[in-house]
Amino acid sequence: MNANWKEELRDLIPEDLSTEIDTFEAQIEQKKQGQIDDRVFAETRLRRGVYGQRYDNGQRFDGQVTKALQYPSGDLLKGPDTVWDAPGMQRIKIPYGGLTTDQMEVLADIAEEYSDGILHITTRQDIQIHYVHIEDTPDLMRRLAAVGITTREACGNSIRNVTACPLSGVCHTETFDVTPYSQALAEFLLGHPDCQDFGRKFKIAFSGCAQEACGLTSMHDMGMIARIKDGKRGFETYVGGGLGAVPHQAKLYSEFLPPEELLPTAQAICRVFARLGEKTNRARARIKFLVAKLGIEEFIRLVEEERKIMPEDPAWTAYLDDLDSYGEEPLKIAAPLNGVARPKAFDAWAETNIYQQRQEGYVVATICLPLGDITSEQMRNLADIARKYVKDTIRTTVEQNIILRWVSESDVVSLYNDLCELELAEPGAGTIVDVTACPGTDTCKLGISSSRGLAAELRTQLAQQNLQLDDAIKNFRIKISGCFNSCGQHHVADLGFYGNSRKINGYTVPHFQVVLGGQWTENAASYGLAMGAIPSKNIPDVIERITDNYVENREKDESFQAYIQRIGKKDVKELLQGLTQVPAHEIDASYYTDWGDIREFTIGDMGKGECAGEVVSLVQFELSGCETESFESQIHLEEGDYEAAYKTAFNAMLHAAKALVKTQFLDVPEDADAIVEEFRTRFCDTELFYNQFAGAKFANYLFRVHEDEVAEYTRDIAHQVVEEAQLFIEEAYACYGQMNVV
Amino acid sequence: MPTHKISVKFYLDQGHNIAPDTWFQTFNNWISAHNGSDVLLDVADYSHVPNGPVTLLLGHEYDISIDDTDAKRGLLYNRKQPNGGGFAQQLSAAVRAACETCRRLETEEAVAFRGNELRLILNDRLNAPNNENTHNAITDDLQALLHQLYNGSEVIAKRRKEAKQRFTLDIRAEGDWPIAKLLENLS
Repeated sequence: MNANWKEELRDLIPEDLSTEIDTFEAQIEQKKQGQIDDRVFAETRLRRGVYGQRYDNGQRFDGQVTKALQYPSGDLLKGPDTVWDAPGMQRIKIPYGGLTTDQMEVLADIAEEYSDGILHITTRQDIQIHYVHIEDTPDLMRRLAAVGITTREACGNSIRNVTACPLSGVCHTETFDVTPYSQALAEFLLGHPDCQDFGRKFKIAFSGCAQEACGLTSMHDMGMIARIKDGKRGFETYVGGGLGAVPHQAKLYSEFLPPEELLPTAQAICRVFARLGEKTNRARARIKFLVAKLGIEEFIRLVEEERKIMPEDPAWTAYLDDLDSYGEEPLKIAAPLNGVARPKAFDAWAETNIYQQRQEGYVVATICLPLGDITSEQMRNLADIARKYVKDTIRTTVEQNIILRWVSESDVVSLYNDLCELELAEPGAGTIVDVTACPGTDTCKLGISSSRGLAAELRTQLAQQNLQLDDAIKNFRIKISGCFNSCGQHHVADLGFYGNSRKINGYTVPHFQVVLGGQWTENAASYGLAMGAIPSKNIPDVIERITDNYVENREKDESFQAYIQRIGKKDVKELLQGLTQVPAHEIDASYYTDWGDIREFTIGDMGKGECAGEVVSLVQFELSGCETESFESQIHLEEGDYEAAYKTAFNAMLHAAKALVKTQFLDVPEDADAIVEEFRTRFCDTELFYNQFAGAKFANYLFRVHEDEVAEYTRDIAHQVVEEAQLFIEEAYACYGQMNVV
Repeated sequence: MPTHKISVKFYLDQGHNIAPDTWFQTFNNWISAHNGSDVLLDVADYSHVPNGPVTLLLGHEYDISIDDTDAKRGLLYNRKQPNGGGFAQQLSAAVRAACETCRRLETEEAVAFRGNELRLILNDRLNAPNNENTHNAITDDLQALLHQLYNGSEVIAKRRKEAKQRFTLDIRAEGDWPIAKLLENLS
């Protein structure tokens, strides 16, 4: 029999994480046996970061016809319209972008063995791998868990990756290092019971200062900016920001939130969002709509009310004790770069890719990744390079790059030479060449136009012109999304684009909407203005005309944002005149294909996106989990582990009871005695959990097992409880149905 | 059996300058023309990434890519799903499939592959770690296959020793071996 990762890594994975992954593996098995509803399973896998991908509905347009993809799994689905065998994307959460060298190696390995050998850094500091088969995901998760990475809640209606300024702790303008706070909040909210019943996702960001862009707090559901008041640390806190089709600037929630209130306030906000946020209309389910609907004053009042009634949790302040011990250390002593021979292209690279840290003698080096992509081989070798120059002070950035912090200045040339060996010494980090793009039509079901194709083309063209570019535009940001959902963050770019299409002469032609003058700095302080849709193939000309005009006609020290505001939409439209025209197909067919794709363009490959997750009620979701426990208890029974079978079956009943109690009492305690007592009072005594024919029989299963003290776990005893658990869960579903809330 | 996850790469002899768009077009045509029981599903362009896959034809059972790893362009066949039989059969099937794919490209595009050199990767660190045990476990099956492939000519197989790498053998045979000849030997 072949080895398996579960046994191999048993001692390296924290028990709770291990159990979670085992449960997910059991749910995969249950789904294959038709025991879980498609929608429930879709949300289950999304909450593990297992995402759908383009063509997973079993068809693809090849440029002439749409062909069916005949996967061996046939009719088996892993979500509505999502074929089981179709490969998907695995999103991997990297809180605040922090990576260790061991993690980099495991990421490289899993991309090689389960994906296509490419790791993609996202605009929210996550890492994604594509073309992954769902049945490989539990092992992939185990390998990540063994080095401290979880994929839990990387997708779905949950708390997504908590991001933070990648320069935290080494930045000149920061008030203080936000890293330990972002880490504490990410850990506290991960899997938190109050964050399991959202109508949509919830994104959190931290920034060390107000003036730079790194944290992008204004475009987040919840954003924190470091502040000092009366010598004490705290956070200027914002809520209700977001991009998407309808961008909202976040509203000020508090001018100063002390650290001891950070976690409970976030929890209270989550509770209000879970309770009052939209659940039916997905397009209006983000918290920004709730804040807009209630008004910020009423929203704050509700959160404060909620905060008062929440049961005290020691975790709210436990992390504060560890703050003093948090900090990074350099590997090497600080020393200047004296007299070392510099390779030819070094200075150009250093100008854009090196940031002098606040700490004298140290720098941050940016590894600029084309379209956020890095091969497994490069990632593994980059881990070796990191070990040579720094400790585990590596981060991903929202501009889809990787940075090494705490590099001694004396090592910079040597580091550059090593990066050149890996072809990872591309200059231009944070400049107009460093184009950001979401996956778009390459792999995303929602993509309309090829954001990556356009980004690759612009990178190539702009890199060739780089030396001739005027200084006024060199640090422009270009950001591209494949559709209006803004994963490429086009609203906050100087030059933003999002994909759409137009029907012309009977053909569908790829276009991009041009969005100009968004503000990247000051935490994405303002959003750009939409100027009209232009055919994809004319976008490079749009950039040339706009930037040339800005260079020629800007007033003294006029920013691009001010210039766009001044000249207005009418002048921009005039400037772009002619570029909206599409030649007839027989004259120039290239307009009818997209960048980076030779096929005739279509929007027929689009599918239903999974960004919004599936709205499954908390009780349904938790009862589904209980079914999985019941399933596991049967496996224990078959394997002859009667004690495990008995205990798992009991837990399945207990958790089903807890799920029902939660409909009336959100803060039901965790211990079995309290759950059973609450269930007895609220559901048994009231005859809510009462079968028309069997009366309280099923409830008594729970009470009996809870009270029993088993001297010996025999097969018969275990078998009985396993059977009873299944019946109890069935009755819990029936009870929930009668409560008329399904 | 060590693993069914077997990758085989043959290196280009001619055709290094073919543009990624051409590979994309070719692979896309293969999807259009495909009528086998296996599934070819998409083409991915990674030409912006150095020393990795250039253009990738994705399938359910296997992937095929024009691959630049180690700055040596070639065709990589990467088996993902079991192909029936024991390791010897799966190894033979993977090498045959790689040869067939190379030959198909040789007939459709202005390319030629060097048949005398190939890279074999076992893409499974758990069941086929990069060590001598794995090497010993596959030696008989591999030698039998190489004997058939190269008609008994002398063959040198060199294992990459870096512990973090997958089990990888660089194999070189004496003499010139067109891909068509290798296919003939395997038939």
